[in-house]
Amino acid sequence: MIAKDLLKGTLRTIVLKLLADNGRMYGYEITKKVEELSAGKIMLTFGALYPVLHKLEADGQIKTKTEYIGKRFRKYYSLTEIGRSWSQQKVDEFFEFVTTLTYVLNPSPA
Amino acid sequence: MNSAISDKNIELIKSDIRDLGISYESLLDDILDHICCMVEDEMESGKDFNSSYSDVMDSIDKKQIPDIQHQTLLLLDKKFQKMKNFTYRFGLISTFILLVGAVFKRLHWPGAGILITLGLLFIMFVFLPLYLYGNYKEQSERKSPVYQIVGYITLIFLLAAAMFKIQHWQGAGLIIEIAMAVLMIGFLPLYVANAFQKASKRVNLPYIIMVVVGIVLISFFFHVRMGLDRMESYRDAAVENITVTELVTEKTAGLVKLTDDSLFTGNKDLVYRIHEKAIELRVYAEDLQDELLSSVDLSSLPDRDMVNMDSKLVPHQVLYQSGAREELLRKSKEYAILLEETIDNDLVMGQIRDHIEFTGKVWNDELGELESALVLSYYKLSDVIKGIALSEYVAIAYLLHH
Repeated sequence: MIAKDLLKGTLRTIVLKLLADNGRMYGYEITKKVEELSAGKIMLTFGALYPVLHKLEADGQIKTKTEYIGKRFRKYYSLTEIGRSWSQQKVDEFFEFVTTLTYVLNPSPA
Repeated sequence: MNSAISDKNIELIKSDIRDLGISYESLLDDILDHICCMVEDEMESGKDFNSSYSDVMDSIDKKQIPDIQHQTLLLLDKKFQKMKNFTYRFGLISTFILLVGAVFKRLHWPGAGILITLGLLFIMFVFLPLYLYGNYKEQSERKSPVYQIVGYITLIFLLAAAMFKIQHWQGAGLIIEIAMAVLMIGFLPLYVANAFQKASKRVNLPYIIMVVVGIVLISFFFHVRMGLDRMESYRDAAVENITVTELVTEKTAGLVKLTDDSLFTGNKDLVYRIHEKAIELRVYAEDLQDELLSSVDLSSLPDRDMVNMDSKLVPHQVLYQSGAREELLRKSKEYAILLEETIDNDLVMGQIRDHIEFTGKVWNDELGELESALVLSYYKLSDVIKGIALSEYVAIAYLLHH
């Protein structure tokens, strides 16, 4: 399991990237996908996920489409145009961060 | 889909979520769908709805559910987010002002005092209240704010003490005492109680910082270790003062003896009055020096081993708490007045005033309250004694020749 503290700042990036790769997704699908991609190492709780989804929606980076599936609504989240460019930027930023961190934490002998 | 949940059960889940405190419809839909998906996953393995549902609900930390709505609404609350942004920016700016002020102070540039005061006031009365308010609002359960308020008051006093100290304002000592009282009686017990209460939860960083700042400040005021080289140079300066004093008093004694000569026509009474007053004052100050040393089990100034010579507590007790410093100041002023009344020559009096300027502002500043280390206090006293001896010599020499 990866500690929550480490995940905290990256949750937005993860969500944006998943939506960029998979088009539209609903909340449960996102948590399942993250679990699958991380081989069970990252377990997103819906307590962490939905505040972020709602925030991203309010910021205009993602949009929702609600479908009625037998007595309940399912909300599909997908990227807006702004969100798409943001997503790429965030992912690049993150990789840069990880690369830098690798240098710092694991310096190769000169 | 053979593992579908019946409409009735969906309604049941929905009302359960509502009961747990989710009222925001958009979020309710999300969570409902999410839980339904989880239940359906469980039912895939052949379990019936009831056991699947109860397994799912057991796996969820129910206490966090109302928090989801709280966090969501706060994230969406533009005003609150703005306030938070403002708080952090303001904190950053205030700290920056404070740091610039500290640099100015170090370089002795003008404006340091204003910058430091401004930075501290911003932190005390804008940043901290906003920060604590934001913190308080982010909690989902409304806890009593007593803890935060006491923490705030403690910090205010500690920062105010630092500010008064840096600015050399009067009353710093009192504020430090209050700050310590609030810290010891109010904040620390609450902190310990709180820490035990939520031993399992993560420790709250701001409060740890608060405690550390408090402890550091207190130790700063009482136990700052003075460098050995500085202590030695103060000691050497004191020894030099003592040597000068001995030389001068010897000469003065010779002069005083001259007045016993039958040929002397001047004012013998005046000479003796000044002489006796000066001796009384010197003896008083020398007794204080002895008391300083004996308080740390020394009989004379140490040659090498400077252990305890940086104590701030001893001078605080011997000079300040006992009232000796005030008494010395009072006696010195009496002596100064006697000289002013006796010596009618401006030039000579100017010289004398230079020697006893410690009766004025310098004395208040440099032997003030809590700040002087033992060796520094000892040195200042030797300076005072030398000043008395020199002024006495100048006065008596003048009286003898006129």
